[in-house]
Amino acid sequence: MKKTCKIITFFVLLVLFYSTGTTSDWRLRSLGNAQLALLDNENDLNLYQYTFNPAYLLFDEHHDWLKFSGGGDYYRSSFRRSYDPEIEQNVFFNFTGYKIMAANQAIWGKVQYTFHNQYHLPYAIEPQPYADDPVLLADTTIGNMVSDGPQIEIAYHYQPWSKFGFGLEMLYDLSTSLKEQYTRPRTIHRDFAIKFGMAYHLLPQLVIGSWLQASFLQDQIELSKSWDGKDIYTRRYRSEAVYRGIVQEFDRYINLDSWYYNLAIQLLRQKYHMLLSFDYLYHTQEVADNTGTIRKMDSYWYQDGYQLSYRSRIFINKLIVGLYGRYLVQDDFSEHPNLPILITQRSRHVYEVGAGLSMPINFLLLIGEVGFMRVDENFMDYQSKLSWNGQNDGLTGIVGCEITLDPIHYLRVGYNYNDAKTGFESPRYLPEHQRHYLAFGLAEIRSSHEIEVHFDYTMKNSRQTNHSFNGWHSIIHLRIFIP
Amino acid sequence: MKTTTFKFFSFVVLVFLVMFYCSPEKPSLLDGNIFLVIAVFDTSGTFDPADSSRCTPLPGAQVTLASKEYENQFTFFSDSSGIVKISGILASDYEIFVEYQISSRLVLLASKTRSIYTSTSDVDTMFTHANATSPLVINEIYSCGPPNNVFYFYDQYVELYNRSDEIQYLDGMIITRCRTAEEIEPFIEVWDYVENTYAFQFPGTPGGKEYPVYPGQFVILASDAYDHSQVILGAVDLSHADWEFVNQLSSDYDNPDVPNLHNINPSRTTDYLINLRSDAIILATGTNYWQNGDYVDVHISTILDGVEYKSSGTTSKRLTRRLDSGYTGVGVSNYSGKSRERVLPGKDTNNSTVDFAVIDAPTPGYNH
Repeated sequence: MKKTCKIITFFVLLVLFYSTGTTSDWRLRSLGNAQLALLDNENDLNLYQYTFNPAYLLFDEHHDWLKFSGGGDYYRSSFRRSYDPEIEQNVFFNFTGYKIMAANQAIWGKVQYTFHNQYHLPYAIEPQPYADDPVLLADTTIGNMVSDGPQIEIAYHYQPWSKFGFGLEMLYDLSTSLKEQYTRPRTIHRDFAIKFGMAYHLLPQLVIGSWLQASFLQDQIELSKSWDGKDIYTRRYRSEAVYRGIVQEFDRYINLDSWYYNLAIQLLRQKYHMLLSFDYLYHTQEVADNTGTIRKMDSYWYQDGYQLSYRSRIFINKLIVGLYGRYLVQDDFSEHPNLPILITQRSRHVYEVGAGLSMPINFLLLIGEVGFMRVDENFMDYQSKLSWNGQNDGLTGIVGCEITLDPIHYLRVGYNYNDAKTGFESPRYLPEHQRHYLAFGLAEIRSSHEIEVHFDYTMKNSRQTNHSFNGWHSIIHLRIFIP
Repeated sequence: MKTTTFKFFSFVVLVFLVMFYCSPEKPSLLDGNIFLVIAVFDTSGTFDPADSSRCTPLPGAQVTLASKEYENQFTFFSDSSGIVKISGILASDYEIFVEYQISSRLVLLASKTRSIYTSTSDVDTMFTHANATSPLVINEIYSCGPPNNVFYFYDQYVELYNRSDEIQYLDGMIITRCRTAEEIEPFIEVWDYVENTYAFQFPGTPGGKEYPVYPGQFVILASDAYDHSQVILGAVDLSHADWEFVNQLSSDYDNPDVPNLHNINPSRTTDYLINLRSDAIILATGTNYWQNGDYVDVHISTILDGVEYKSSGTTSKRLTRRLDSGYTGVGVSNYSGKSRERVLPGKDTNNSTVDFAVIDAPTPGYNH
């Protein structure tokens, strides 16, 4: 009974104070977003941290804890695409908790609330105008879009046998946004995802895991006549440049159903950690307009793809060498709502490799990483008679340093440089640019709690113009270890 | 434990199979790559009077396909055999218009609606008929009101234009707002008259020569000949309009410096105001009209010009195709400050879809 009460109390705490889904890896961010060779709680090469398999949750953490994080960011840009806002501002806070309920059960939960404001946002009404699907709803005004909403995520792991366990994870995300200017669209965003995972321990060091996730996302955009009697004029794009102008009140429903599948092998030997992962994804999107009397399909879009990734860490005395490789293939196409007519299709191949080193020297931990990513994309828009075929290359270099000020205080500094080159012109990608990311962090770590403050500054410079992007991000988080 | 292992790997294999076999089939037909052939014939004998068959291939005819699904138009011309090879158009429902200008007063026209979603080797046919076009036409219709938040739309006006080389006279002519109710829609192509809710008449007698319009002259007919920019910034100054609609049955605003058109429908006691985004108006000689209940019917033979406008291409036609085979104004919303004007002064093929363009601001007394 007492145990049940504890569990209920834990859930109540989660729901009341809230928490969220991904690992809060602020130490990594303070060190320039280094990942490959850095050992950290939130960065272990295991099935939970890198493939998000809930069937490995129990083995990822060894203490109960509660964590609060809060922060915000602010970006201002003159270097942007047609539907990018000039200013973007986010504020969030979340509560995360982890509880080992028994020797073979663990639960993790997160509740988060986010405020997301976009200022001087041109034309776009949809929350994701640059998603891979070509469908877009736009108006003719530049205005501010304000959004806010909660997100809840819970993961549970049960290990009935020593060699086999399964896990369940659920996410619910609800937010509303409103463009404050005519046409004043109101969007209700709902996202529900459920994941079922399994992990099988072939050997103590060798684990194979697999999960299947279903995700159902709906954006409901409401467009109704405004108080001043103005008609709603919107443009419905089914491709990059061809649209239909509509003077009508209506609700638009964007339903995106996704299936994800992962199969991964984890090897954790004393001198060698390795994670090999295969992912498959499948998206179907339907867009329908409801004018009050009829509900009419406006487009269909499909995407599928797979990804193979490899991560490893080699331990040579105090030196850690990290290696990373990824290959992604994605294909998508959109078709006419009433007839089997192809409107757009795309084939994308992503190749990514990286290597990193980390080495402690006295009171310093030094980190260095390099990475290269190539996106090879062939896009055909038959309706707009638009196409591109080529490669976008990105080269990344990271240096970071963690200074141990005393046994409980740490100062972190990181710098991340990215050089992006484009091999084709597309309205969907920023042209050639350089990105500089500079980060600082200060942490106090005790056995009872840890406190961390993080600040980073990002700047992107266009190579061909004087346009630039500037922004900062800051966060504070407190984690309490429950004895 | 062996059972667990088996179940685990069965799950993995099953998911693989389901995922790989559930991918949707990609369509083989490509949008924007559709072709078809249209043969254009003159059935009026106007193009080649010597051809007794009355089915003469029409070379050099302009064929316009206006998509009803997108804001795209495609224009082609027929070859020496009257054949038009259409290619590279979008899969859509279309209004197809054929136009061949015989002279400034005579045009051969044809139009039809057709769904074109796949390429075909079949040859479609368009049969044109001769249409006399009026020397005096409706050149611009501004009705949606200036950008404002107080429902102000009283700066409406209609612009006329003399597209001929001769002086035309407005004496006794009438200008109306057509009745565009759903219930009369089935009859618009059958009736030999057009039914109207509002009808206003110029002074004088039809055929008179007191009120001339010189070649190339624009004539502004204002709902209220008033400087509306004093009320709403950006509204049109109509204080110097050429004519003003005044309903003598009401206490309508009347600018003493501007001559009036007067109401001829006794059942209407309001000013001449037209719908902000969807309506039809006609200009007639004023020689044959009659009262029919609450409406004024105008015989079609006396109508000089008619223009239909609507903000959405999907709604049905409200003005007979004999007067306007198309429509203008798609995308014009109320209080947007936009106007609809002929692409060139006086261009008239009795098809507002190609004759008119939506412009961002009204242009009273001149063409954009």
